[in-house]
Amino acid sequence: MSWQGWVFMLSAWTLFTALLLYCFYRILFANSGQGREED
Amino acid sequence: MASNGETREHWGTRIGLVLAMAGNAIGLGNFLRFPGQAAANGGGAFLIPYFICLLLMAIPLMWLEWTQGRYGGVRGHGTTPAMFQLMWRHPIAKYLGVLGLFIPTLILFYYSYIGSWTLGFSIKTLLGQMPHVSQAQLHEGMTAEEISQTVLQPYSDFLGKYSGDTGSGYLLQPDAFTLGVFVVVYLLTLWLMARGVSGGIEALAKIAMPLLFLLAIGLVVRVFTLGHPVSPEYGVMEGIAFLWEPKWFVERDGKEVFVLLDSKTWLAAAGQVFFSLSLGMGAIQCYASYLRRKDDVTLTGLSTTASNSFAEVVLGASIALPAASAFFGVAAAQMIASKGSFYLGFVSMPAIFSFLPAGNILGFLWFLLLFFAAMTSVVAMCQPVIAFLEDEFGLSRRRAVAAMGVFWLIGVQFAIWVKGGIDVYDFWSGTFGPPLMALVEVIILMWIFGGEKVWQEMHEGALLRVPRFFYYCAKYVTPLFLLAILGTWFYENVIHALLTGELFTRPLEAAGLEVGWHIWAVRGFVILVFVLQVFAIWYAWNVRKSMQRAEVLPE
Repeated sequence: MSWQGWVFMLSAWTLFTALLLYCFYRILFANSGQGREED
Repeated sequence: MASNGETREHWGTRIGLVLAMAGNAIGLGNFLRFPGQAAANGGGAFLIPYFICLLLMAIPLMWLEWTQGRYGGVRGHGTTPAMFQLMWRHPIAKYLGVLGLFIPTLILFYYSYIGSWTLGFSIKTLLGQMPHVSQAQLHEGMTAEEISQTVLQPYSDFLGKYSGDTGSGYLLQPDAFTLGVFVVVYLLTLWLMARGVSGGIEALAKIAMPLLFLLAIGLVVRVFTLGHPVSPEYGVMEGIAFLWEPKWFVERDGKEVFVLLDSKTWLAAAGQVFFSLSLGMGAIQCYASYLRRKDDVTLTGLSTTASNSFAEVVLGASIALPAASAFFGVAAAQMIASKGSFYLGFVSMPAIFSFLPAGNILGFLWFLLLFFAAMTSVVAMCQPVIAFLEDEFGLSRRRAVAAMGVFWLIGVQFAIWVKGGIDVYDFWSGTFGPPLMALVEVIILMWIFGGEKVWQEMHEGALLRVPRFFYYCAKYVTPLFLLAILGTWFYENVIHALLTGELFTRPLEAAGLEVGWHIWAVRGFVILVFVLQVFAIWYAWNVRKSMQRAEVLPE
C-alpha cells in the first residue's frame, strides 16, 4: 500500500478510535453525576 | 393519553442508553454496506466526502434529533407527529411528523426479515448445513467470473434457496426453516418490546453491543492473521490497500471523473452516513424521548456517532472485503463488492469460512455478529409505533406491542413472499424518506421553533459544550446539504426517469426485477400504510380535541 493509503487508513482509524474512547471515558468515568435528575 | 413526561418510562443507566442508541445505529450496513460503498467510490478518497457529510450533516442532525426527542419526551410524547406539533403550532405540523412513523415501519417490515436470515445462517453454519467447497478448487489466476461460477455459486444458490428466490415467477417460496426462524425473531422482539424500554431494549443492548464489538474485534484479528492462503499474490493487505488506497479518479458512464467532484460519490457518502446512523427516521427522537429533563444529549449523541463510525470504518472495513481479497484476489474482491451487501455477507463470507479450520465456529460467530447488529436495530424500528400508540391513544404497553405486532406481521408478508418486495420497501424508506424527514425536522427546529431556543434546549444538562460552528452548520449548511441530496434524488428518479420513460421501473429493473402486478401490490400496500398512519394522527388529535372540549365545558 502506498504512503497515501496508509495515511488515509491510519488517520481514519485514529480519529474514530480516539473519538470513541474519549466519549466512553467521559460517560463512564467523568461527570457521571452531572446533569442527572433524581427520581 | 399522556399529557406530561412524568409517567413515561426512562432509561435505567446512561451507558445503557448509549449502547441502545449505538445498537439502533449499528446494523448490517456497517459491516456489509460500508466496505462496498468505499470500494466503489474512490477507496480512501471516499473518506473525504464521508467525513464532510458526517461533520456538516450527520453530527448536527444527531444533536438536533436528540434534543427534539428529549423535548417531546418530557412533555409526554415520543414520536415526531406530536414533537413537530409542539415545536410548530400549525395544523400541518403533526401530519409532517407521519414520516417518523412511516419510515421505521417500512424498514421494520423488511429489515426484520433480513435480520432473521442472519440467525438462520448462523444456525445452519454451526450445524454444518452450509454448502462446502474445497479450497483445492481455488488457484491463482482464476478470473472473477470463474470464481463466481465455481467457488461462490453453491453459496449463491443456497442464499436463493433460503430466501425462496428459485423460480422465475413473481412470488418467492422460502422453506419452513426460513419462516420458522423469522417467527423466532418476531416473537423474541415482541417479548423484548413488551418488557419495556429499560427492561427490554436496554437489557438487550447491554448484552448484544459488548458482544458485537468483541466478536468483530475477534474476527478482525482472525482476518489479519490469514496470511496468503492461496497465493503469495493474494493477501489481506492487498484487500486493505484496495479499500484504502485513494483513487482520485473513478469511472462513471465510461468516463474518468475526479472523485471529489462526482455527485454519485457524494450521494453515496451521504446515503451511507444517513442509513448507518439511522438519521431522519424518527427512531433517535423516540429513544431520546425516554431521557429525563436534565439528561445530557450532546456527549451521548456524539458517542452514538463515534460508535457507529468506529464500527464501520475500523471494524466493518477490516473483515469481509480483506478476507475476500486473501482468498480470491483483489479483482474478484472488487467483483464481490460490486454485487452488493448480500453477496458480500451471505455468499462470499460463508465460502471463506468453509476454507478455514474451525470454519463452522467462525461462520457462526460472523452471522451471530450480524444478528446482534440487526436485532438492536429491529427493536429501534418497532419503538416509534409502540410509543405513538401509548402516548397518543393511551394504550398500555402490552396492547401497543400487540397492535404493532399484528401490523408488522401483515407488512412483512410482502417482504417474505413477493419478489422485489424488499426493494420497494427499501426504495421509499432507505433512499428517499430519511433525507426528506431530516430536511423537515431541521427546518422546524432551526427556522420555525428557533435556532437559539434549540441551542439553549440542547445545552440543558449538557456534558459537552458544542462549538458554535455547529449552530451555523445546522441552520444553514445542513438544510442546503439536504436540499442538494433531495434535488439530485428528484432529478435521477423523477425527471431523468420521466425523460427516459422509466418512472415506474427504474430502480427495480436496474436490480434485475420485473415490474408486474406484484410490485404494484407492494406499492399499493405502502400507500395504504401511509394513509392509515395519517388517519391515525388525525383520529388521535380529534379525540384529544373532543376530550379537551369536554373538560372545558362539563355538562
